[in-house]
Amino acid sequence: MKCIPITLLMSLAVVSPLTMAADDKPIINLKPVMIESKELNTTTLGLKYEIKDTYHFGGKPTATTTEGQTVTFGDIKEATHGGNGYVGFDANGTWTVDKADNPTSTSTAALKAGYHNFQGNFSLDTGLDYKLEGDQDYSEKNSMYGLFLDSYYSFTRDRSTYVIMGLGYDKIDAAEDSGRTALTTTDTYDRFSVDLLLKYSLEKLNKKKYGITSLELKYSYYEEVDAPAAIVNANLDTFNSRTFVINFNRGLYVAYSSGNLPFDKQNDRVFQIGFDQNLFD
Amino acid sequence: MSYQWKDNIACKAVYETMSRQDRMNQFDKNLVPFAKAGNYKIADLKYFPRAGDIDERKAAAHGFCDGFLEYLLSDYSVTWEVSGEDIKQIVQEIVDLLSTADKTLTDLAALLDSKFKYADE
Repeated sequence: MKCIPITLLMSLAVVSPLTMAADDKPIINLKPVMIESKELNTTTLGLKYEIKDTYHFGGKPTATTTEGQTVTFGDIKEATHGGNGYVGFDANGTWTVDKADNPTSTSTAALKAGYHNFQGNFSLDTGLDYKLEGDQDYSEKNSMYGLFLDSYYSFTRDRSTYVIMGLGYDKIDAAEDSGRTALTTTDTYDRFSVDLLLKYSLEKLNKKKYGITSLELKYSYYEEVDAPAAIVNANLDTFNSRTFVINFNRGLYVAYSSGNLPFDKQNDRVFQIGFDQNLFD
Repeated sequence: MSYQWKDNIACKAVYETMSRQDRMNQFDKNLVPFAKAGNYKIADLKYFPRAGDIDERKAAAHGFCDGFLEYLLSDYSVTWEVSGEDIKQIVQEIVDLLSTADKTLTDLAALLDSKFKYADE
């Protein structure tokens, strides 16, 4: 009988992450997480990281403030709605001391150049990127370049119910993915990807202490185009992952993830319970 | 000295704009009274995408910031605090804060108070 490993990941929500964020400066988010593998019977401390730096160019001429002048939303709209070009770098992943203990090890680093257009409740990003996708130390990796199209649309006045969708088409070089090269000599291929985030927030606020406030679904799907038979037979032609989050009043939330991305381990279920200090107010 | 959450127009403006049902409607005032709202985290606002990656949080925060500023500036009379700052960069700072899970409403009020001068201050 196939044994399905279950991994319990408890976020150390009470530990404040180190966060540095400022305009046009690199954003570095580091958050410790405790990863407990029931299959391996191990508990390990991990570090979840996100790094991002973006440089914007083009677009409207710079609008500046004048002390004492009335601020209107029209000024804000005039300065921020519209399009501009950008180049940027981002990287994310989770690091553990022993990578064998890391069930969610897929890490990415990307260089991007694109066009961004913002219209308040709608935004669009499109462009080209070059990415590395690998395990936590990139000893196993794919390199790729391709096109992306990301969009955001909010349906509500309070901007709390929305959909964010990302589409990608990449040409991949998998020569340094030993799991793949052991199965096939075809180490370059095309891949289509979809990332979807749906957020639904209750219009009428729940007045119960721990009432539900919002629901989230995040879904990612990758599919290799015209995959060789050996890859299809090994179930490596498609990957998908999904996370479902229920948010409650006072900072309590429950998240459940399943599926796996290309360099994740086969441990395919992650359950997370988190809370912020608001719970104890 | 760090910014204090207190009964002034800058903190009240953030609290009212976030909580009023006909504004951003992010939390119930009975569950989050003004006196305790200063510690309320951005991650616990209704709009915040906990499952989102950094790009998704930024996209959601930018849309949210746009709506938030529209209401705040329609309800409160505000002038610029200093001259010569790039308006787009000011908004980007607010977006960065609104996409950072562990920032609080006090942090937001402090940032806005450094950029805006409220009429009754």
